[in-house]
Amino acid sequence: MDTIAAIATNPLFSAGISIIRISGDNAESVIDKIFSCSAAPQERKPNVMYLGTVKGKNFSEKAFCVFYKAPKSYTGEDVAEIHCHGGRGVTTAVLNLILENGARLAEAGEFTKRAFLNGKMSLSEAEGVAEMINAETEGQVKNAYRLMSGELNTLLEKIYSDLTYCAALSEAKMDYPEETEDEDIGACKQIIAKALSEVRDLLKSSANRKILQNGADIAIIGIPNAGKSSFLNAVCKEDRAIVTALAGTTRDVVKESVEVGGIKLNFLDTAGIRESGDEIEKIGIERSRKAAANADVVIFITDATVESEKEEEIAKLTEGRPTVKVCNKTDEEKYPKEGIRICAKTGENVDKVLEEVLKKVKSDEIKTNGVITVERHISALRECEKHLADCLDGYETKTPDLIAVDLYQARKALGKIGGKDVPEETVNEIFSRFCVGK
Amino acid sequence: MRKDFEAIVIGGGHAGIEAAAALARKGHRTLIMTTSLNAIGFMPCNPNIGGTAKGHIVKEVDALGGVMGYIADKATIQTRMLNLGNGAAVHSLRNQVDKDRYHALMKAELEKMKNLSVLEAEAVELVTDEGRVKGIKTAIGDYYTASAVVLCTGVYLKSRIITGEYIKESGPSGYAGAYKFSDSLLKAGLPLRRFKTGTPMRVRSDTVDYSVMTPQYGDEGIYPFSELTDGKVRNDAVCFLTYTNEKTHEIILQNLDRSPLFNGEIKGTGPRYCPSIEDKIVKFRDKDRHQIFIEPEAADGGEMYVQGLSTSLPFDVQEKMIATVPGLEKAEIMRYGYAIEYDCLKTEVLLPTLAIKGIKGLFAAGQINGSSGYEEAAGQGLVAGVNAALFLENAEPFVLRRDEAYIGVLIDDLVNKGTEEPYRMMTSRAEYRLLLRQDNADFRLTEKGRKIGLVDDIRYEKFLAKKAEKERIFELLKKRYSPENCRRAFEKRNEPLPKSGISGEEILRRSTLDIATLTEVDPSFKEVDPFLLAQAETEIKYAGYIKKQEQSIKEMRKMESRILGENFDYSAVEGLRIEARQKLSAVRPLDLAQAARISGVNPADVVVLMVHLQKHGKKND
Repeated sequence: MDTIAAIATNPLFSAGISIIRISGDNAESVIDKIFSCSAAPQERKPNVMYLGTVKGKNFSEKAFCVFYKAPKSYTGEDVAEIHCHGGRGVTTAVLNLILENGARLAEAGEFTKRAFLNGKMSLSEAEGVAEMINAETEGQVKNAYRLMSGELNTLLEKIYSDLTYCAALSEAKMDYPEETEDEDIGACKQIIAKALSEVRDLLKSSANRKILQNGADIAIIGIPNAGKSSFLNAVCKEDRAIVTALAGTTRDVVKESVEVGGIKLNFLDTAGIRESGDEIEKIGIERSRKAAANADVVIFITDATVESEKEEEIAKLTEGRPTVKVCNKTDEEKYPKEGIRICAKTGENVDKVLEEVLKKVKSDEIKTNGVITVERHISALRECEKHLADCLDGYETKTPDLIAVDLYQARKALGKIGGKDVPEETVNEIFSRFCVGK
Repeated sequence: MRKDFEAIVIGGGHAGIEAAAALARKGHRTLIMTTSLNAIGFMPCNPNIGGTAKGHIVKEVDALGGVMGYIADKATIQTRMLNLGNGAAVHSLRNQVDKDRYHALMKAELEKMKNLSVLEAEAVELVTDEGRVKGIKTAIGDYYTASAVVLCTGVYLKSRIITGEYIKESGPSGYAGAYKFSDSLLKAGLPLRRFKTGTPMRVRSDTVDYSVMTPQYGDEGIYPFSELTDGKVRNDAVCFLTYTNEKTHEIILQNLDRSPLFNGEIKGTGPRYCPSIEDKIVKFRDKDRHQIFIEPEAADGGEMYVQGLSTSLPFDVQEKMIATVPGLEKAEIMRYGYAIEYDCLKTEVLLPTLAIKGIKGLFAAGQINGSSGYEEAAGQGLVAGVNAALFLENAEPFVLRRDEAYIGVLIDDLVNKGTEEPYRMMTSRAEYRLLLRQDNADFRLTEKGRKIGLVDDIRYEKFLAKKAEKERIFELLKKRYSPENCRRAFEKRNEPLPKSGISGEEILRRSTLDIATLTEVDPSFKEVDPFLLAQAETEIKYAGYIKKQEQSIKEMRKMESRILGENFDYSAVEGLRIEARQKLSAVRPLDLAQAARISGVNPADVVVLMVHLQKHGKKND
């Protein structure tokens, strides 16, 4: 493989240290040309970090260098890393020096692609790396890590190997009918049913992927002057990261996006409701209605200082929607109302509201169980689900040759996520598990 | 005697027979050459033909116009349909065959074949000129010319027989091996390797105590292998089942150091599915017994095959271990078990036509290609013979696809996946198993056999009649029956009565009903061909699943429409791993589907190829 190089740390931000990564057949010789330290090139050991000097034509830079020998490296090829000072100028200079000495600039994702092609990671792990790079919130990071670390893979492997076990049992029965009389394939139905429910759980989690990826849309509705803006200000005033909204379907109405508890909350703009005048108010109500209908959670703020028919009208908008009821202006309360008692002006109990909101978007579930976010995985899982369901449909009345068709297809679908050759493995499984043959 | 032929087949085993018959039947002056005419159609191992997946192949060979099926039927002494409980796709015909009769019939069949000369001679040199086959030199110095040669050398190349410490350069059962031809192949640039297989001992029947064993009889009402066979086949032989026990295993374990498999004497790779008893016991120590079947070698003889005790342990150990098996305590060994090592080709030189890369006119079939089994050899022999003939005719080659025949799966696996051990066909290797049933082999392949010129008028007219009868049955199945017609048959089975009417086809579609129900509703079905009616039932019951498989075939065809071709430059594909690049360059797949099946080419490589094809617009929809 030709040798590639790129700045491995984020080149847009100046930081204390930059790392430049080199991978390919010439990684070592590139380093030998540009880096010197107390140990001569032939004395250097892999996986040891050396302090030395990177020397260019008109600059010299103190830096660390570490070398990883193939296949024990990220890409599975020879890999070298230069850790130098983090300024943009110096980082670029070191990179250019490397490019002049036998490497070419890597394309986006090329290191990971090589890692995948060299069998260092499965397809889904590689996809995890991509997700990680694009992650914005803590929740996304955690989820990407699950993919990257192979947690999803491990889970799928388990389902896959359970199904392979069933397939091997019935295949052995079909290919060696005389020698497998004692083998019991009765247990297979339970194993298949279990696999189906696991696949369904995974698919269920994918329903939450929009929330994890794009954030949860939160509509704040209420009558004019109920304190919607004050509430939002209070939310933003807290020591919270304000996340700029990503380009997307909701962009035009998102007022503010805030990361709370690892999940991005997009507060939808229902402005206009404060304006007076019948016509405009109608538009306001209409907007609130739309926002409430499209949001993942509705925060309905009532005003404890007034009694309003409009409030009842707006309350109707929350019917059937996951709603957090909030009663504002409790410091001047005249008309006690349902909901979490807050004072938006002082920020009192705003946290409690957010807590409720997070509960409604099932943030715990999202964060602890992980979410299937890659479209390719979802379609493969759906395919697998279908074949497993077909398999169980009338299981008792079906002969093993038919059951085998569904099992094969289900495994093939699952295998798509990590990449597998089904028939050869079935054969291998048969021989590792059973004593058969003449 | 004339020495100029169009084609020469080397070897008179199951591959050689089909190759020679195909060439001769297609009108080419052919010579079949074997080291001993007594070894034509010889069955050096188990005395049966067929079995799971193998039975399918025999039926396919027959449908294509081959020899094995009808000769096997004539030599059959017991017939069984295996897997009856596991679904129609895996029903597998297996016949016990009288080995002596099979050989005699096969020899006679070749002797009366037009265009075919049969010669006892040892080939010692493959003569080529500028990458073209020219002929074969024999041990006595004769030179036979031909433009096509089919290698069907079985286990005879540099074969070595091993029993414990005893090693002998010999072919199976005392037949002479061939020790010069390998070097000629190497000289021609063909890569060879060593494979190993083995066989159990044979015992004298009247020294076996059958009273302590379980007898196994043949099944009644079984359809024969061949469409040419009229009436029933012989079915009176009995096999017997007994088991090894802990004492047997103890003796084997105590003597492992004397086993050539474990002390390093045998270096050839043996088959996992045909393990020796010592292999089985070492690998599966927790299993307290293994099955042994006692099967007759011939109808009238007294020699019995001991299925399950394949071994290369020393003679004295064989005697000791056999004496521990119930019923074999006093058994007299007539032939000892042995392992046999032989030269075969590395499969990387094979094309899907079974032609050999780099030498025009050279073909190979059977064990030389790394397979094992009489049936696997026959299937390849037929394809190699047909393609040798088509080569002589300068016509398009003949390739069976994975969704058309087990033979297609077998050859595709050998060519693309290669094999590190003698390859045995199994139904689980066929991903379109529901379509490739043994009962429909003739419907799948007779037309093809006709087209390639192997199916004669007699066979073809029989097939057309069968086809018409099947259409008539499906017509009959459209007839509708009132609920009153069905009442008795349905109520007996606690089956809900149809509200209005129900057709015969709909009755068969119900998983809880069968042909017995149908004939109770309408006794006229007793008059139709029972095998075709059963086939109709299978096709009706399996319709949903058959559709599923047809869908996957469509997906495969899509991949096949993405042509790579023989001259594709894999070094120009960015991001392809070195191993994949090497494998692809060696095999040179025709399309993406074939590329994906090559071992050493992983799904990621296929993705890389796809991207490359898309970029360069080589799609061919």
